Amino acid sequence: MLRVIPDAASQVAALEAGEVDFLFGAPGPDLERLQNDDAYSTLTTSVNPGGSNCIMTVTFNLDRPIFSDVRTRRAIGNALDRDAFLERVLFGQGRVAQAPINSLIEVAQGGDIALPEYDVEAAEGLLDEAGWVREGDGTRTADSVQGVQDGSPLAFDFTAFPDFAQYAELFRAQLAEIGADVTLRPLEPPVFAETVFTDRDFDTNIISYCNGADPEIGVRRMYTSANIGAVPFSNAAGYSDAEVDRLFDEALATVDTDARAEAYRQLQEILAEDLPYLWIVETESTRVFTSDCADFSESGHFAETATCS
Amino acid sequence: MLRRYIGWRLLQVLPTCAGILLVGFLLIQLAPGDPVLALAGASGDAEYYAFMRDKFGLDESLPSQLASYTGNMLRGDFGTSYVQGQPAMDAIWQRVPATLLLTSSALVLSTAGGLAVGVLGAARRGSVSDYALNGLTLGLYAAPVFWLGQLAILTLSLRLGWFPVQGMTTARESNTGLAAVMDVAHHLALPVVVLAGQQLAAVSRLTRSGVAEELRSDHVRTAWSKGVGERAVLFRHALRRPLLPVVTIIGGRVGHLVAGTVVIETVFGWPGIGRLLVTSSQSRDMPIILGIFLLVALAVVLANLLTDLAYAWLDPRIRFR
Amino acid sequence: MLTGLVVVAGVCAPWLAPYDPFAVDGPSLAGPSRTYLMGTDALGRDLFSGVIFGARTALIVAGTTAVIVLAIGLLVGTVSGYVGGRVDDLMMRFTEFFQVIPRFFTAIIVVALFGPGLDRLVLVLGLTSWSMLARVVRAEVLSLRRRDFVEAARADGASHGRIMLRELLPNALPAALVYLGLIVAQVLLIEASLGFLGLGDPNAMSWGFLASEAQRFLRVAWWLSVFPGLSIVVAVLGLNLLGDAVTDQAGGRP
Repeated sequence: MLRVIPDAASQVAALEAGEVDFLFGAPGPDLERLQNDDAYSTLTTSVNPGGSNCIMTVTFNLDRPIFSDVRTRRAIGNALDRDAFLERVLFGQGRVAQAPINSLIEVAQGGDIALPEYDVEAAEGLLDEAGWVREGDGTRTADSVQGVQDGSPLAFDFTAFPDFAQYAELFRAQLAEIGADVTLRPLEPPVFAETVFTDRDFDTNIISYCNGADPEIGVRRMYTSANIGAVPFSNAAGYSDAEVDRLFDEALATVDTDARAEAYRQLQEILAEDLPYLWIVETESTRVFTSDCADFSESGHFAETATCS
Repeated sequence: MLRRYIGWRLLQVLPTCAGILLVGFLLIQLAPGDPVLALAGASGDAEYYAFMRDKFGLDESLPSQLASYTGNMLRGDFGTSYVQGQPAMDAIWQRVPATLLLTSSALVLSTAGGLAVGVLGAARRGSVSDYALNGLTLGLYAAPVFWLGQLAILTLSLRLGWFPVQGMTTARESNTGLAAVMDVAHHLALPVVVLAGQQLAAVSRLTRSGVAEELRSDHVRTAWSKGVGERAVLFRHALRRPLLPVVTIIGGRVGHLVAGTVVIETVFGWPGIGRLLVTSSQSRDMPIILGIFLLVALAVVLANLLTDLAYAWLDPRIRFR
Repeated sequence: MLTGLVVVAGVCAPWLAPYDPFAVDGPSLAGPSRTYLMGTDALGRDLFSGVIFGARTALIVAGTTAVIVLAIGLLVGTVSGYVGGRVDDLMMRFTEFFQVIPRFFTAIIVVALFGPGLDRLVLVLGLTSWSMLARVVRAEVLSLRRRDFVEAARADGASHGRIMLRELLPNALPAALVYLGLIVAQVLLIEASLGFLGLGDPNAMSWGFLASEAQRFLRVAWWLSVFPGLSIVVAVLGLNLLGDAVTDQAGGRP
């Protein structure tokens, strides 16, 4: 029997009261206790409700003049302490992303890819260079930034599902350090999809992009120019690069693994230079079940295989 | 005379209901963006929007929009919820019994408990227990419902394990008969007590001051001197007059209680209209939100009406005004 | 006294709070200690600073709704009581209507339609909360309007507007203020509840917002729930007691 308990803390309480045998995802703060308890077994998996091999990804709306300069985007990348996201939002369930494509996808590994590391000084330097000047601890203002009126503040909004509020809160806190003023806009999934993909009415956002088993499934849609448009969870950044388009087609056209790997390696290098997105953390979730039960599968259809004594 | 009063009072309800309908209409018209989005939420597809646009006549002039809106509302037809995939009214009615159970239990508990606590405080005026009760009711009256709920879960459920934390029934067992009733009662206990708390405080404060005043009055003193027992004096003589103001505020309290259920149902995962309202307002599922708003407003109007009638029946002077 | 505490906390928030309430300054989910008086949340933000800045938001909400409520309540109450007759009837019907309209649900609809934000919240709560005040003022004015000093002013040829403004309003004010405290206390509770349900403004630190965060960590971090809740109790209790105190001062007349 399946039951939806909306509140995470109550889910754990129900498990410990013996009311339920299985939790689809254990909330971080309770995880350690449950793992150390012999009465429960845990299973860590990269399968999330939205798909597998997901990366929490910050999107820049590239139609916005304030994000047209890659130095500004890189500065924001440098300002983010992604270890803090992993530890404080996910309670360690996952990995800091090392590349645009999930580390579990074998065909798209290797190469010389360097995502922006946490470095506040570098971030401040880049923003100074880009023309965002700061006096004291305040919000930076524009001084001859291309396409931005002089004196306008480095202020932008950040849309996210309400469930991702913790990411949003941390994002705002970390960017305040470098003088960027972030306004949060929590939007429920259907409203989010419409606002971001149909209306393109956002500055930045965070999306759990699930790469799936192969880059063709869940990676292409984020980057190719053909995927810009109203389709939910497509190319949110509005990123368009002829070379990247070509490399995706090249990877699709061949069955040769090495050739595919080479194409993915090259396009990831371009992406890591252009930074239309910032790849934050690869998420994992933890299934928890009472030790009386066995044979849970990773997917949502766990109940078909499981048996409880 | 009473009959005329009832007729007059019933007549008064009509403009109120019309006003509430109008408020809903105005809010939808004032909302930013296409009114179809305000009415149908942001989650639908083109076909659904066309359906809702047609249903509420959104392509027509404002007066005829108002007419089709009013017509739909009067028929209890709030449109179809895209998220729930069924007419909003059906989705709401499925949840009404759970909320009704919660609210009515809390209403009974807070009235009875409030009277008892109030009488006790008045009888022991100035004693330690009076001060303690006074402090407690003051605190209860000021505490937000969700916080009381969190504290109750923290202590009574998580620490002591006396009550279930969530839901209306135990998931594991499918009880029947008496066992099922007991199971629901066990789940009901904590939310009802928390929900009743604030209103219990209000009733008890009102009762206490009323009864304390009565205890000093002549007819109560006479009863004392005749050797009537304490309990009889308190409940038969001193409580009678203070009951009137307690009755008058029942109508208003129903409004408070229903608002409280929205929060309580969220805290305790109770499957009533409150939870439905919260999830619907997050996904902007307007047919449901509007339906619940109108239903609740109607319930409050009705409660006020019944209260006034009960009051008129108890105290004949009111009928003349 | 309690109200004073909240007012001071709200006004002096930037100086009182040891940290920026939104900034990550400490370890995750640390219990109350000397460095973090009320502990920290999951992200490592100082709860004490959050509570202090929450007082500021509460103050803004309370102050603005009080102004709206007072303005409409005094206007409707005075005019209704002074003019009487048909006008009075009509205005009182209107007032009764606002008495039955469910405030909490109206606020939820507004947030659902217009999106979350402090401005519209204050507006909708102010516009729907004045009915009790208007009735009290009307009752006061009714009892005042045949008094000698009003008659004297009328005999002096004072205009109706002048009589209402100069003679009736100041005398009806004390009773109005008592109820204003009670009304604002209720408004604060509603605002906190909306914040708890996730319908508050995410860009303003508020007690309700803090309590909604606490719900997820109830089992591991009791302090996240206890302190914001206590602050709400203090503020609301303060306002209720303030009403009582004013009543006592005025000689027991509510």
